[in-house]
Amino acid sequence: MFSMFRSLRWRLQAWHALILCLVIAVFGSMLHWEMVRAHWDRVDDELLVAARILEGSMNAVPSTVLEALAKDVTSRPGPRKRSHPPQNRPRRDLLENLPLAGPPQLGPSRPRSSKEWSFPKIVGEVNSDWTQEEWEESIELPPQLPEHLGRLEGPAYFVIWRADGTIFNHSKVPSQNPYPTYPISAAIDRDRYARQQRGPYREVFIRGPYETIICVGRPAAGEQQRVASMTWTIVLAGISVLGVGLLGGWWSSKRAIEPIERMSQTAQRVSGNRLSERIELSGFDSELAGLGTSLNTMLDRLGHSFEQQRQFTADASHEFRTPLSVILASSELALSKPRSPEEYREHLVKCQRAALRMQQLGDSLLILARLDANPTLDVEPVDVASLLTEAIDSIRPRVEKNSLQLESDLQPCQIQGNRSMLQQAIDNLLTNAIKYNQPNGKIAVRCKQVGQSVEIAISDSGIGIPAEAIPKLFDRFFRVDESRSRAVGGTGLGLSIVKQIILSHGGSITVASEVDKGSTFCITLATQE
Amino acid sequence: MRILVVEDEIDLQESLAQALREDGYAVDTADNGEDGLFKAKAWEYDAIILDWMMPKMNGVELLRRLRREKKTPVLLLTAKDAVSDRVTGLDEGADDYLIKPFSLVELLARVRSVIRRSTGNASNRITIGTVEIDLASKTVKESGTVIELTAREYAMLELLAVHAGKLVSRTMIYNHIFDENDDTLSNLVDVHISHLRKKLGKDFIETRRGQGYILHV
Repeated sequence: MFSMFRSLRWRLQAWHALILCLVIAVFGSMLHWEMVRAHWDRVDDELLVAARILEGSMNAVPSTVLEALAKDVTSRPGPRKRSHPPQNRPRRDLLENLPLAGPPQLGPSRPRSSKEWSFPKIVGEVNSDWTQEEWEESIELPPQLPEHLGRLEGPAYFVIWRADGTIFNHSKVPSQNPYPTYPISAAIDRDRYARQQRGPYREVFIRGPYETIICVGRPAAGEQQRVASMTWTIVLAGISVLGVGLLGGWWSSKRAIEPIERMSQTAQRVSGNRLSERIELSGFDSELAGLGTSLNTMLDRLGHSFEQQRQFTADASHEFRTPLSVILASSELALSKPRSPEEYREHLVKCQRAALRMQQLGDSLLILARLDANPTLDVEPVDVASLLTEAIDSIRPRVEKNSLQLESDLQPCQIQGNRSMLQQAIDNLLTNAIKYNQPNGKIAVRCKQVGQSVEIAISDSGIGIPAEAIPKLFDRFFRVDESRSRAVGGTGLGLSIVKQIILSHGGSITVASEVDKGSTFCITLATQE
Repeated sequence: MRILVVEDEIDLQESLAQALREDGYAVDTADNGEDGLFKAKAWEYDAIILDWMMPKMNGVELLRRLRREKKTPVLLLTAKDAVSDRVTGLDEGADDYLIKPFSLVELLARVRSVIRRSTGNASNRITIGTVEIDLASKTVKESGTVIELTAREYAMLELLAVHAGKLVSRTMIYNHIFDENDDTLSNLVDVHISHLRKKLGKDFIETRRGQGYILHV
């Protein structure tokens, strides 16, 4: 079952899922963080405005007063009943005695009333149910404060500490909610504010005048719920995006893998006997179509070379069968009954001739097989002129026997090549020039340096080659005239060997011929390998 | 029986011809397709041994042209051993097919077989009265006793026996018993017939004046 996870498709899917999870997690958490921050910023900004209003009103209170007031405020009985705000009134006297300064400049300037200073004189309940008048009457808070606090959700509250941590003033706080503890004042400087989530309450701290700390807070359970629901929304959205992404990935990996599977199936069907199979390219994307085309081209070439190989083997086997059947028929006939020594001799001669032909054929095939198997030869500097001189000397007896004329024009030139192979090629060409020549014909051998290459030309005044035979001339087992070739003892491989040798030297061979006039084989070899 | 061997490989052609002659056949030879076709059309051969790969005209082409005119049994010889090649050869009208290299014994058996089929005989044994002729071993028995015959005598008896019940003309005898190189006198046929009559009985072969000979079943 683990093999399933080794499949390309599963691996693609796994990577896809992993990357998708990471992206969604990073993106989701950033989004969540940003949304939550923006949400709380809005809440805090409202609280901060209230805190700044309080701060402004406190600017007028001298520090001595703050200290003096401390005892009264902290020893004051618990919060007043909400339903009786007027009970707070007696406190007003105390506060009214304070020396007053002008109100802080907050917002647009308002017309100043007789109650110019605007610090809260008493602690009262801050309740949105109260009317503006009730606020103004019950506690002389800065006029903007009750209005502002009233806009806040839930019953808001405030606490003011002196620098020494004692409480200077506070509003009524919700019954289940004890006072917030004195914060670490050092953490708050004048231009900044601190905030905290204390249980279900949201609180903002600022540094007020005289090193006081002002805290404004309100219950924020609703906001917390909203944040929680936001979190859930983001998580659910993430999960659904992941799901869609995985399905899309599965589909796209299927689409990507399918052509590969088709190729693999075709490749499995292709075998030595079935090279005709081709990959169906319809519906492939360009990259895979390119791969498929390359594979098909490769199969074409493979098929072609298989066909060539098959043809070659069939031809070679055919070539061997003929002399072999001579040997078998002659020997069987000779042995079928007692015969005279002359008759035996006659049959043995036939057998020998056939065996020699087989040997010649075998040698030729061996040379071709070596050239095919190892097209790169061991090379050495070869003096072409001396190579041709040697070749001419070795055929001279046959030239004389056939009363042919041989002329040569050999200019000194050198190439890098395999001497014995080149000798074989030249020998084959010279042998053909003798075999297919006319009586009293001519053979001409020339070599010269032309630029960066050496040209060797071997001409004869022989029977020539018909134009239609020239394209096939270098094919294996091709014979221009079967009977003539057989009569002069050709294997049909001589020129294929020549061509193969020249090709393995990086050279080229061409032939020009005219029937009954003669042929010229021209070899071009580069001086530098 | 007269056979044409068309084979371009001279050594093989000679061996085949010799083997067939030693087996009692009259043998003509040709070493290319054109000569082969000419001879095959010109003479009444009992069988043609035909090589496939030949210069000028290949065996199958020869066969295709020959079949427009004649039904002479043809044994195709070739080095091509692919099934498709054998099918092509047989479809073009070859009666049998032999792949090189082959055994001479098998070749001779196949030659007998194609001739036998072409003359409508199912067996290699022909019995006429008390005379029994074995075409495979080329022996003749009269009432169980082996009769010694020369090759020519046997060839003539075989020809008459294969066509038993039918008239065999002198021309036919010349065409089937002697090959192109034989330079025999016409009365040689009469000599062989009289020898056969001596060995197998006076009434065994009936002479029809001016027409030929007949063996009565």
